[in-house]
Amino acid sequence: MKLTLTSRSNQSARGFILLEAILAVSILSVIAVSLTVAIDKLGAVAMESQREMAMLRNMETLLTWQLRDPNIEPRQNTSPPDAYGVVYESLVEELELYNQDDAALPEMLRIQIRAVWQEPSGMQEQFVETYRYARLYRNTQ
Amino acid sequence: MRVSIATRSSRIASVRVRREQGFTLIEIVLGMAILGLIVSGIYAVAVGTVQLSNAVSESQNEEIRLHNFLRLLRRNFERMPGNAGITMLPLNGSPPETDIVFYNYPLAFYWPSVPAGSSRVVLMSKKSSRGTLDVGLLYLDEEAPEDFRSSMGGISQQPGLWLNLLSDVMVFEWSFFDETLGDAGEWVPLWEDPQRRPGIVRLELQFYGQGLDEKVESIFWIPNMINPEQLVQANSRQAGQGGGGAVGAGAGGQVRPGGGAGGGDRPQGGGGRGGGVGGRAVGTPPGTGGRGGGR
Repeated sequence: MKLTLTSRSNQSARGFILLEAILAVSILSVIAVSLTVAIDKLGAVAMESQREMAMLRNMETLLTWQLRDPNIEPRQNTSPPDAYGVVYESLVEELELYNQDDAALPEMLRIQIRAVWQEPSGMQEQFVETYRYARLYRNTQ
Repeated sequence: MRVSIATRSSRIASVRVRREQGFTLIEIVLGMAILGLIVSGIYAVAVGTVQLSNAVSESQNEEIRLHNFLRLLRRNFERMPGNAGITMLPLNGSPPETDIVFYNYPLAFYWPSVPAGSSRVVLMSKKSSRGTLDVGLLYLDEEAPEDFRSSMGGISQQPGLWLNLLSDVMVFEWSFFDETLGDAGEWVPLWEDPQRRPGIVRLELQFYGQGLDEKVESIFWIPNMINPEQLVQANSRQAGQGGGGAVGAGAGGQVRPGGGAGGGDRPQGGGGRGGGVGGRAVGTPPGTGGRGGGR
């Protein structure tokens, strides 16, 4: 009778043991870390989506200019990094192109617009490329 | 022995009483403090998540709106018919307001909710009550005054149908590539002659706010196309004179609309002479042929 009563009263007054406390804290930490990672990924995905749209817009603008510039000639330009850290490189170079009769097509140019940016996994790039006849929009007046 | 039993029973009663009396103040305070910490942590995370998602959503909306706006401009610039003209005349103000006026382009910026057929469509930036720029479209009909800016007031006092496209714009600047200037062409801030069209148009755009605070540059191409009015005039001259000169004028206009436009702009000023020169110009390079037709 005595032993039983003593055991019950000790059990009710002893509080949490260290293992229980550590377990509770670790579960809370896991939840907090998961939430933080989820929020971070949400932000990263949103940033990536906006960067893609901005890249598409900028590459389209650069390509339009290189395609329509009446005074185009072989050249290479590099822009400073934009708000997303993307650097744009425009490359215009002479192109050796032959028709089906093996006749050289003169004054053909290759236009390439590259977007280069840094990610934790390394350097990333996207590019668009097209060909153009150099005199296509040249002012002949 | 009795005393001992009595002491034990009083201890048991004391334990029961302590177990039944509830929490002490310090326990409740400590519990509430811990609960408060946890709740405030959760609240902070929730608020941060909501703010971040709001910011992301707002920023994406701005980006999508800008993207669609630029696509709308690109589509309408690239589909300008051959007889359509474009002007941008000087305006005062800070930030500078702009009016890009499209002539003879009744389907400019047309979609099902907007009636087509306006004689002039103006892509306009105007100062808002907040000091920023609103960018929109103004569809003018035949009765609208030439100086439509002077008749503009509130929303009910627009000289035509106003459609707002962008708000809170800080910079909205145009420039036009005039390939006839200098050796290699030059960018000019104004385009005053509706009879000529720029080949390339550049827009610089910047918003107020946290999202798109960087200046955005976009370039649009306006294709050189034959003016159908010139073609009809050339055909009618050909039918009237039976000569090959009209073919020259048409060919000049087709290849070099800027140069060939000279022949069509002044059809009454010596059509026979123009046709004759144009006829000789058939065998010459396209640009020369167009210019010859203009004289």
